[in-house]
Amino acid sequence: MRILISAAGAMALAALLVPQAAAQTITPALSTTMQRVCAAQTTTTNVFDASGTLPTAPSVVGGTRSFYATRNGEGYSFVQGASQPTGDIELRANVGPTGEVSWAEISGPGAAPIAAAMAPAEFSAMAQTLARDIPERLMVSRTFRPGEQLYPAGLGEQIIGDLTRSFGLPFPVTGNVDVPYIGETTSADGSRVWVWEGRMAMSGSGLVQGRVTLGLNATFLMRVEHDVATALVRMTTMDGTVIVTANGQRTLETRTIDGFTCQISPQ
Amino acid sequence: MKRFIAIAALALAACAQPAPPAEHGYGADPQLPEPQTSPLPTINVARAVGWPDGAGPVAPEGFVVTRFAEGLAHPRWIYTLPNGDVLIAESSTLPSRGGGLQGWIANMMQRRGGALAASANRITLLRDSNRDGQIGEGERFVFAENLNQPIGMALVGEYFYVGNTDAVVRFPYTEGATRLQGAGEVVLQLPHHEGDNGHWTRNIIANEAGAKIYVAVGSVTNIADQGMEIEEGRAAIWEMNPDGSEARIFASGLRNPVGMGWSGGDANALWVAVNERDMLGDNLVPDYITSVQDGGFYGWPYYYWGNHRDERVEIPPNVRLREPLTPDFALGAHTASLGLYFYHFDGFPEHYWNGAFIGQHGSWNRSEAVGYKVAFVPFSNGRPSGDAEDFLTGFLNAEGEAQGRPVGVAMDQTGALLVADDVGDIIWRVAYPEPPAPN
Repeated sequence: MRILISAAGAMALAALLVPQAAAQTITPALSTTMQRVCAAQTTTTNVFDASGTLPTAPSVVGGTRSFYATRNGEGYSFVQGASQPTGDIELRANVGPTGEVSWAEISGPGAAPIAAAMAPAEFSAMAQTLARDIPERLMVSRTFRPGEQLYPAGLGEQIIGDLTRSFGLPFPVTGNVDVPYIGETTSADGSRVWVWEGRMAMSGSGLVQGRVTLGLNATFLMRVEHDVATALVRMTTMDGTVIVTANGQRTLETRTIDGFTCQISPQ
Repeated sequence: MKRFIAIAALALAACAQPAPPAEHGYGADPQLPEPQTSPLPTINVARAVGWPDGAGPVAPEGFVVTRFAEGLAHPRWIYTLPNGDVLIAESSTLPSRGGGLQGWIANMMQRRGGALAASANRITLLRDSNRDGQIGEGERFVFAENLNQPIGMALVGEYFYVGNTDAVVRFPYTEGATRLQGAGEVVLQLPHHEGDNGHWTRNIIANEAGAKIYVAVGSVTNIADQGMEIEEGRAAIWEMNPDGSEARIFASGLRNPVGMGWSGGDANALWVAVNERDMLGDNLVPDYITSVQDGGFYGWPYYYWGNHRDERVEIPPNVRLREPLTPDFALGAHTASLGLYFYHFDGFPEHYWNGAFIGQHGSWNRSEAVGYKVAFVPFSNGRPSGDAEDFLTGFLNAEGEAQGRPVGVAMDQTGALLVADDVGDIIWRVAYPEPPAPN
């Protein structure tokens, strides 16, 4: 029922946005000659901290993100880069004509400590999962009508499960992803973009070291815009809260706004 | 999606306990409040941001702080050769594998604090040929590489010794050499726990005659959390002959012994800086420096600060423990007192002669940050003779972020103090210029 309601809501919003174009089915065609370079920023504010100490100002971390795809047989080779204070990370992947990931690898100085913390097989599996989560991969061999989900059935939940295991969260976490296609609109710089917007949530709890039940609840609103001409991401934002509890008592609540805006240029 | 999960994971790692009153345990008779145990560790590590251009730590009036060398890879430890060459061990903490919640949190926090990185596994030689107090073009050399998390360095006779995390190795050395030759000879294999080696630094020091070498080996875990079997030979200072023979445990019950030095004076003795246990509250257990007695047992993991019982650790019925020794001088809980250097020189004002400089890397298991400075303890005749003082501060900025974290301390050929900063990737030089000549 919740999905039906969400889809209906999305349809209504899409109608408000662009009544003409929204009714159409879209078929993104990923460019293999253009690339995106994005300025990223994450702002985190402690809303509540059981220690009683709150930071005087939000923490702001900047960086850049990039992506380009090239032809590789019938499929694609993807290169996704991230520059951030903890070091550069590059994710390379080969993707088949229907979007399946056949190979993925993470490298770069920022990845070295993560690799050192994992068994090689775990690290390789994480690369595969991250490759499945590249936004442009979700465009390959897909069509969307308003209300249809960005993540194919079950994929979002599966990625949440896989990644939380990779990140080493000490208890199982379940997720829910509801990010439907809204419609087409015009971005601030005048380019035509397709819009997906919705909600992502995850929660979990578990007895840790036999002594405390630790809980995690996170809810975020997500919006992503893909360029109509290239299917590359133009802009994405996430805005939400994370609440950590210990034995049912709220221990920490943070609000995080994370996003990046991109310039598209020839490769 | 990965950003979403990373944000949630970081929030989980940042959960903290309420702050108890801030009272510090320093000196020969520190305040020891009642233990405060909790299933969740208090976590507050200063986020590593590095130094803005032109900024630096602050020393007492009259001292001048400059950048001796920059652009190193996690410089942790410093050793000055007799010819004045300065050696820097570039080495860093590796992420632990496994370790449950605490290991996971430790990894997250160490990443945040800038302590976690691929280890350079290298020793760099800095030769200040023109004695201008700054390493310039052509004054930097790779002295040794392909090591394994090296920290300890000591020249004993014609050999240069390196304390890798898993072994002490030695190389032939000739005066003036800018690079060691060969792969090195293993003279003593050290206890090593694959996957998560815990306290990994292995400092080394020789006695004055060069007849004995001492090796500091930290514990795997906080309080033998995984049992005592994997702690065999750890939390101890080993003694050996220069060829590795007659290796034995010289002193034990020292959770994470790191900095070592000889105090000099009438009561000359080996002293060690010890990083004490976590998760007993903000003000327990104080780190300390202490003289080390041959055969001495300092309590870990069963006791702290003498015979204060740590009730979290069960004493097996078939184990009979010796009476634990009380350390000499407390340096505050969670300060991560790692570096230790006795200033047996007269280049600073007399107050500092023969005193101990301590590099305090800074806290993670305390609601308000402590450490993140170089402390000084005055000594007289080889014993502490006054209160601990701040010597080099300003490593935290106004927002509480870590611009740098001091670790190893040593003296250069001119008598200036050198401080390794493994977040700023800088070697700081603290000099006391000659007083102006009288008119």
